[in-house]
Amino acid sequence: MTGEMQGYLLYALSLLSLGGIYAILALGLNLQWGMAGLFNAGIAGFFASGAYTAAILGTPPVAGRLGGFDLPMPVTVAAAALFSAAIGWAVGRLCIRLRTDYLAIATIGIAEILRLIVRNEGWLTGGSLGISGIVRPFDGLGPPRADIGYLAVVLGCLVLVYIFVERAGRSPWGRTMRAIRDDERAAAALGKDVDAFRLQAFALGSGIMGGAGALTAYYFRFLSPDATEPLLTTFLVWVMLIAGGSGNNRGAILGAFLVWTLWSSTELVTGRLPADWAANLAYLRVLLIGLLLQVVLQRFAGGILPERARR
Amino acid sequence: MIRVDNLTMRFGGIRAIDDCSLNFAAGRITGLIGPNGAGKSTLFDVVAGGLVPTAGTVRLEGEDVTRLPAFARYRRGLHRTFQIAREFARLTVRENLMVAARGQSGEALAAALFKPGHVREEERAHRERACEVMDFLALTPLADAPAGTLSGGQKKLLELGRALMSPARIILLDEIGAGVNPTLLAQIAGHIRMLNEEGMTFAVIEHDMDFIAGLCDPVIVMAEGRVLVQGPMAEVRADRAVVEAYFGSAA
Ligand SMILES: Nc1ncnc2c1ncn2[C@@H]1O[C@H](COP(=O)(O)OP(=O)(O)OP(=O)(O)O)[C@@H](O)[C@H]1O
Ligand SMILES: [Mg+2]
Repeated sequence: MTGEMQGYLLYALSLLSLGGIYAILALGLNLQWGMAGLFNAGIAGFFASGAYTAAILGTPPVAGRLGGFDLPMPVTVAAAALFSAAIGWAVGRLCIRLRTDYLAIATIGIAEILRLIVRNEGWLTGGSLGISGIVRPFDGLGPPRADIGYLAVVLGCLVLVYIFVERAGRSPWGRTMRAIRDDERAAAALGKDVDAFRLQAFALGSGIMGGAGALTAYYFRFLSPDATEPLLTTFLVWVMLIAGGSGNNRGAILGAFLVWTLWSSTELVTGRLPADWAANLAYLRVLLIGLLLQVVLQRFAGGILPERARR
Repeated sequence: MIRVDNLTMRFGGIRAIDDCSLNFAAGRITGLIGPNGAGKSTLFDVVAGGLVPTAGTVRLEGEDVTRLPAFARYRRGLHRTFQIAREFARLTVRENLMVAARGQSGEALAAALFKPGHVREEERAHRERACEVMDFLALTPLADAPAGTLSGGQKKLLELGRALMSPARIILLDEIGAGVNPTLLAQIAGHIRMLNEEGMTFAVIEHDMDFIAGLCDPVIVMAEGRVLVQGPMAEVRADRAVVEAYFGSAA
């Protein structure tokens, strides 16, 4: 294979791997918002707590930082999902009764607190140095085989999460969850314990986001406090779900791959702009994505694949 | 069956219910009438657990349920319909009915994921029941339509349909007849009477006097948050206070 060919291949593998991780995030948000109507504006917090859990548990010992457990990836990813689910459950216990807009503010607050912890508690997270030395499975194979192997891991996880949310969504559990989303008073009048159902959806969705965080830590083999920035998680994942079709799991996945591809390709365009524009690049990309969302919603009000009636 | 004692419900300065005591007797179809704003729907809200009263108690079969959440009262056998239909807009008509069925072990996540035999069995039974209810209420052609797309009258029928999905001990019906065509309404009255003969208790709010007269005994007249008169329809109709409350004149 020529060097150029391999370059394209690696680029495609990277696009698909990160797209797959975003698809998992979007499925987590769809469980919370699309099915249960819970407005989580702190995706970054649940994502980062999963990423750091996996990094701390999965790396060899380093002086001056907690960790060095060197556990295998399946264990660390499961632990990350559990830990983020636990945080989601705790946040939910406090905030799930709040009205949508207050829940949004509360989740932003939680994500900010986690961001400060990550930046300042060096003994736990490595502070601004971050955590390096994360080894992917299949890394021994070298590129591009290692990257193909990791893509398979990501897509495998995506399929598992998809089957989980689809099965849950089609079941009486999911039907009740959607009923609560549409009218909580009517659902309560029909014997549904609204808070208990919402808490389950919130914790499960947060756990899925934590798992996606863990996959990201392995993907980059390195984790820095940038993982807690809301732009690349909270903002993008919301755009993905709304553009793809809230309430529809396939829409969430489609939206994730589509928006991630566009987001990555804007880098190619903005990369050619003059250097003094460089500082504004991030804002320009956000603007472009915002425009894209506008265009999509003008054409498809419920997203590209809207929620379907179930027979 | 249900008794409320010295019930008061205030909204700011308004006393929607004002030191009201009454009782829906077991095995009866109690009618509840009164002018607009008399507090009838608010009474249902307080009885069903949608509102916590300012003062007073609500008892369900002797048990004080004043502070019990709505879902727990439902589980004790109470069902209420809403005057302004509260359909689950993005669920289909069929799903709106199935979600109302009692006895859904598939609402537990583990059972939902692994779908053991009894969950499938329950779902099949609920689906069949939903078909019967839709047939009765002429909603079958709309089975797979999102409930948000129904007409106003159809939404009221769906509201009633959810009450018919599984047997309850007591059903509170808040103006289910408003906006429903007379032929179907007569059939609904017949169905209510049949369920009542099987032992189900009802409380029915309606403005249509003939509907109330044909179905209910006793009848309670409310005005300004209190019970004005109660008794058999014939007596209530003859009562001077009722005539004044309703027609606003000393006719
Ligand atoms: N949530 C609320 N907030 C403030 N006021 C309320 C509320 N609910 C009811 N009210 C007031 O309480 C009074 C009784 O209302 P309610 O709905 O119980 O009347 P009703 O007897 O059912 O009338 P109708 O026959 O028109 O349905 C009204 O004056 C109404 O404005
Ligand atoms: Mg009313």
